[in-house]
Amino acid sequence: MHDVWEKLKTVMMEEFLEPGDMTVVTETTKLSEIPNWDSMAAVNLQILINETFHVELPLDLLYDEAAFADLIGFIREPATIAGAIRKRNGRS
Amino acid sequence: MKERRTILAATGSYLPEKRLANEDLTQFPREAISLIGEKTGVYFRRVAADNECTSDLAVRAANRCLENGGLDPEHVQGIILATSSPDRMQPATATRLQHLLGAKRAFALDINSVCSGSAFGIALADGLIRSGQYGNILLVASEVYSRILNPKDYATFPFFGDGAGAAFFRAGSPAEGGVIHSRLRTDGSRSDMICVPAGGTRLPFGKMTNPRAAYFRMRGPDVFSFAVEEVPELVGQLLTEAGVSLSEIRCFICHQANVNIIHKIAELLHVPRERFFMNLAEYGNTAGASVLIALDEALAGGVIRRGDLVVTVAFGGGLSWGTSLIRI
Repeated sequence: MHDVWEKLKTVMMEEFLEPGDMTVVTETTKLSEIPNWDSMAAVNLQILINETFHVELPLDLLYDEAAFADLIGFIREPATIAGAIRKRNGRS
Repeated sequence: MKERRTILAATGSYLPEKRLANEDLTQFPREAISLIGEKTGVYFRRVAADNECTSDLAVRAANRCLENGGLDPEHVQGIILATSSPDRMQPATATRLQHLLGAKRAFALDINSVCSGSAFGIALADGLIRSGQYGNILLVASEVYSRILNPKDYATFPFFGDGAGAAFFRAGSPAEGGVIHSRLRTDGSRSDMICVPAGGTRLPFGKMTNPRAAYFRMRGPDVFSFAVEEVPELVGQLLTEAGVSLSEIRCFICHQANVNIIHKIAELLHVPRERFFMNLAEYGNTAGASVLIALDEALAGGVIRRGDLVVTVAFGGGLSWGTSLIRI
């Protein structure tokens, strides 16, 4: 998990976070706790994850209460994404 | 001494021909494209041709303005160009505009108040004319943000479009209406909220470690908070000082930032949304040019007419925000 998190942090700093933002961002941080998080930032994060890790994460899974740990799990095991979407949409 | 007033004599605008729909922004995921209109109120934007720069758009808007007013460029005494996307770091983009326009007798200078450019320009033009130093001023606002935006940044790229607007102001009497009152504000403590970090003396391109620093950046949620906190208060102050009530205002020509910001400002002022002129859906946010483009369209379309009271208001990087009360 550590390697994915380090890479994600690096590319987020390069691509859309500001200096200082990462001082409040850890693996357990919820997306809504990122400074200036909004639906536009969610799309930027989606693009970043796709380009960096070649994982197509739907916007549905980048909701406010999701934590970076959740995203790291999807990046490490993309096969879990479909199940997470079904769960999020209330289907088993 | 007889009181002078700054009269709005003519307006003009120019939008580049190339028109991009949200669906054309294929660099973004398909599911995100459908959200652009909902999140920003923008459905189309114009993009300058490869051989057009900020001064090229400016001169087209300026020429249309002078033609609309039946005015000769040689009679223009001063040119103020509001832009935050200049041709070059120096000299002022207004100098090329002056040359292309053939306004040989006019001084020419740039102001950079980012999206507040039109608002600051109106107040400055008014000051120069009202003081008696100049008999007329051509105010032009021109932006080519397509050259300073990161095409991959979903938080900025879909918002903006290129365009230019112009307004010719001349000295007149209070009986003719004109600019009645203006208010300008700046908060430099929040200058990082909207900026292009690199390319100046603080971070020259040669010392840039992240290419992203060369692009425009904006902290959207903070900008929303700033606009809805500061703009209604300043408009209220403007009207109170002028002794005019909100109900007397025919139309609000507001910076076309984002549909949600404009609706919130209208709500906080207790003014029906319909009294806020909107062309955001078609042109996007044209930064400092948006107020002059909207003013020209509102006049050309008969939304506002001679004699109407109009409030122009803009806000943006700096942070800066400004507003004027004008009798058209």
